[in-house]
Amino acid sequence: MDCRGLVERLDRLLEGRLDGRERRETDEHLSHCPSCRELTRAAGTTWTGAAVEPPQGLTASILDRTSGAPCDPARHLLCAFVDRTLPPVDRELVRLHVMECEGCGSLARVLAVMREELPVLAEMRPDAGFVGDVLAQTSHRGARAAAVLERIREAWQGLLLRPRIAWESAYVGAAVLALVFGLPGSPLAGVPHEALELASLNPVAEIERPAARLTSRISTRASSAWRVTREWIEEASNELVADASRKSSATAQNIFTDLGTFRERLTSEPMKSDAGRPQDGPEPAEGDER
Amino acid sequence: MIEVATLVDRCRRGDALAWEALVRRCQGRVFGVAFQYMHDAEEARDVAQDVFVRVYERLDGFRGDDSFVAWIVCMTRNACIDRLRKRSARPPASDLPVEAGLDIASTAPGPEEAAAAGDRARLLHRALGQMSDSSREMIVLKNIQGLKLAEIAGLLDLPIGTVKSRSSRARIELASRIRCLDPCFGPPNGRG
Repeated sequence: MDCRGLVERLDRLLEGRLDGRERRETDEHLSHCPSCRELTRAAGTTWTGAAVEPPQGLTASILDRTSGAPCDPARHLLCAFVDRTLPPVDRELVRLHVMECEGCGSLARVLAVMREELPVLAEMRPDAGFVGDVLAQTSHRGARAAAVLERIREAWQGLLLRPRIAWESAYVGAAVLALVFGLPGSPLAGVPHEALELASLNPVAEIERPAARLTSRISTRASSAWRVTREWIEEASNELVADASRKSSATAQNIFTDLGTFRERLTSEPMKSDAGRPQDGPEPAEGDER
Repeated sequence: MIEVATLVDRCRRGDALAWEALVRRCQGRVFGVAFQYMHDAEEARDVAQDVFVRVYERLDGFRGDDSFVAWIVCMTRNACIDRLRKRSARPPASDLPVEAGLDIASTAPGPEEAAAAGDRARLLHRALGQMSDSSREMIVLKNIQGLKLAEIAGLLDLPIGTVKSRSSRARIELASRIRCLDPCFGPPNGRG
């Protein structure tokens, strides 16, 4: 091993982490190299490996002059450290700090105890009659509906009893009117304009004029319809009368004809019956009398 | 032990026995949260009762995939805030009678251990009482009631990162206050 190799493994030599082979090589090199012996001595150890204790408070004074005390960043990580949710490297760093820093160490101990004991406070016992009171308020029939109605009533009363309800109602009403009539795309947007125009004219006359026109039109239509209907009824009734008289005269004629025929037969019939009465039917046979 | 989800399901179907069991199961937690906010046993009792009546009315609105404990803790917290608002002003933290009416549901095996646990709980309560409202709320929701960061974020309408950092700061603050009140505070079996 040469001097360069010793420099490379100097850290591990100071920390006593060389394995047996490395240690033998290092010892052999140091035994014949005065400059490396000087280097290891200056670095805080003799070549036999005995470490030199640093003076008290050295780390703190170095930190004061460099990064400052690491307690603040450590306390940011302290809860996660106690909860064991830190990554391994952070966890090891906080552990090393907590071992050396009394303030953070005691805080970590309290946090660890709190972690176990705070959940105990989650449940507290109310007095013995608590369950009975709750059941009395909830178990009877209809309690749910009654309670809901009561809650709605209370909420409504509370709403109405507020002093600013009048202002709020006015604001809401104005907003609704603006939304319904004021927006350009609203179907009722033109209504206020039309209403104003109508009001600026004589509204009664404007309403009466079309009404009068409509009335006369209806009257004309009705009279013409009545005239047509009346003519149709008269024609139909005349036709009916004519048809009936035609039919009745033909019937009378038939009756007269039939009556004449009948009278002629009546006048001729007695002579026929006197002369040939026995010839009216065939003579009954001898056996028919039985 | 019957799961809370099962009890809730049966309560929704009108099972009075399940409702009683649910009240008995959750009363300590609801009362505990109410006490942390109200700092008065009587008021905490009233709030807890109101909360259970509200839970009974709104069981149909509870979504089964949520945590029932988180739901009921949120409801209790909101009820406490409402009541405190009605009072118009919160009492100053230094005047809180935190030791009155404190009955922790302890799991200590013997009477001596139970007494020691009670002392430690009172110390924790006193330190909590010295904290600001927001820090105390973080401790109550996260470390005492065990709500998840996302649940607290939803409840307080804050980003999760903010909840995480506030929770961490609150824990450090509480630990510092406990250390001031009792410099020997440590594990129960490690005290001299």
